[in-house]
Amino acid sequence: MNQSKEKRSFTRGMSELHTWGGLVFGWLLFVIFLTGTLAVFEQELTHWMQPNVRISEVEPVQALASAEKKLRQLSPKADTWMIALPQQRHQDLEITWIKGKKTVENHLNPQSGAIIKTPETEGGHFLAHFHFELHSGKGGLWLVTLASMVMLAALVSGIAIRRQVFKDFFRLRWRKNWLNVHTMTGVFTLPFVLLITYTGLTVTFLMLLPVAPQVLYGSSWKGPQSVAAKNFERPRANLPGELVPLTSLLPLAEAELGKGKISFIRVRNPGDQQAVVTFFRTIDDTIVAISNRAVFDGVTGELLGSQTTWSKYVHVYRSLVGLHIARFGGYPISWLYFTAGLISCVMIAAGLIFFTIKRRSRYARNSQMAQWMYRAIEALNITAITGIIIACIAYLWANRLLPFDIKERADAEITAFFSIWLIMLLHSFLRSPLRAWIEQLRIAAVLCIGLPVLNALTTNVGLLPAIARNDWMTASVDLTAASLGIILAITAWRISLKEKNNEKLLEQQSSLSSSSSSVNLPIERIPL
Amino acid sequence: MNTVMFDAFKWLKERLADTDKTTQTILRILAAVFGGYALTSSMLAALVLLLPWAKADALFFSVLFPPLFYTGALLWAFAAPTAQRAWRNLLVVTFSCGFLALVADWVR
Repeated sequence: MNQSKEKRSFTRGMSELHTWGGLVFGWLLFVIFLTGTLAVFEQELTHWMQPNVRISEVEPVQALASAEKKLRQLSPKADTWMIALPQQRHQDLEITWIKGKKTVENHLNPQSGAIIKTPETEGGHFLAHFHFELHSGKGGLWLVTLASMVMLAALVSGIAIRRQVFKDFFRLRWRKNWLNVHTMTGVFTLPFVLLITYTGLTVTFLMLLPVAPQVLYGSSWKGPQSVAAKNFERPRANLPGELVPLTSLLPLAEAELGKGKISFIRVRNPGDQQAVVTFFRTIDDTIVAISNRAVFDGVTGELLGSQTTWSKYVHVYRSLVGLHIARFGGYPISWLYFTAGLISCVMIAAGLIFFTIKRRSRYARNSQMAQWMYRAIEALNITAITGIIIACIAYLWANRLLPFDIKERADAEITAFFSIWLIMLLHSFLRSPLRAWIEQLRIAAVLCIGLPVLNALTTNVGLLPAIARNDWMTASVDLTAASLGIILAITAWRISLKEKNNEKLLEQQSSLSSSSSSVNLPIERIPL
Repeated sequence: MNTVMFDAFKWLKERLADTDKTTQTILRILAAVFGGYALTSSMLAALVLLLPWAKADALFFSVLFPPLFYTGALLWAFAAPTAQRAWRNLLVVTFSCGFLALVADWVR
């Protein structure tokens, strides 16, 4: 007796957690998953958003020579120089110099060494960052962490309240209703969602809950890097010293780290007697997301040391990071993550929609307050699902439509993202839910399908020229946006069909039973 | 002043023993978020101090666990028959691990 009572309350507790935790954090989770999915192609999006930065392939040595020449000319006495060499998915030579609080970043033409004038943009980096910080620092990071934990708990509780979903899934009992879409996509992406949520959480917890470092290191803790990596840094001598040509160090670094594998170079205190030059290896071909490095004396050119092996637990930790950021396997892995991410988005969206469908008839008979709450939930669903889709694609539109040389252009793009999202929130409260769904899906579809057109009209890296130049990084953004747009358009069209059916049904019912004023639709006939 | 304090205390005591649905849910959420935070911190501290390894090894090994601890606490808070039981369970484990950590730190 007691046992059965406990069991009942266990199921109820789990279903409470799944329903309400899933609802409140589901909005956030959809946003996190969608922006995270897009961030898989962070570099491609950045490339797309910098249409002026198109360079032809060069030898690393030549790119480095151009970068070095420019840095010596721009800021010979800087605190730090940084050079990002062109890579397969980062076809851009980027130089950065830091002096005091000033940081300047430039894109260079690797052949001529000239600075490429390009409008400021945060590129795909904004989406990748928004995905875990929600553009609001540590508070956002906590919110994302809580949401991710609710995601893990929702997976466990979802399985606990509906164990038969696995049976249904493998017996191919896939029905076409929202609950089934939610559970079937849920089973399908279960391994992916577990992996991505868990690996994401291990990273955020080290930032948010540094209990272990504090207990072990106390106040001497200076971040995980200081423990994992050997330290070759040394203080400034404040005596002038001629910096050795970086190009002469490149072959030595390549001997340590592998030919053509250098992706990043950092020079501390150039022009000082204690200058240090560090070469970092790319992580694009390894699951362990930590850069092997070779460090040289900046004046004598002598090798100070290198690090190519790491402690086994650093390996484990950075492998989890590697599994999360998905840079290790080239395009096949990126597309796998992208697809799995999109299906997970569908899973979350279907759950949110099912919440409202299940309760629609119940709340209709309830108090004013309950009805208002129900209305708000429906509007927030629309804002969180179609609203964020529109905001993301509008971010790309803003990149092309904002004037070239306005001040703070990168911030203006982000402002466009948030304002469009806010407008979608207002829109979803002002229109009836079904109309709002259809209209926002249509807006999203038009913006997605229109993106290649906009790109072709405003730049010279449109779809056809890009393909002709073999610039698939740009062309794929156009093509992917257009294909997603077609899916959105089909969804909008099918929902509008349901709306029409629904109107017909209402007419029939009212002509059949003109005496009763309230119409109770059977649940499966309710739109959406 | 004293009576105000006393009334507030009485009110709080009654709320904490409350069995109505809303209070239960609020207490469970608080247990999940703050109890989970406390539980994760103390378990993590106990773990790294009890591991007889080099500091850096213990540190990078310990990063594997906080998501599991916190999610476990979250589930536990909602799986317990009542919110009061949830709080009791979480606090018992938190304080035991905290005690373990203190002992381990003292032995070190």
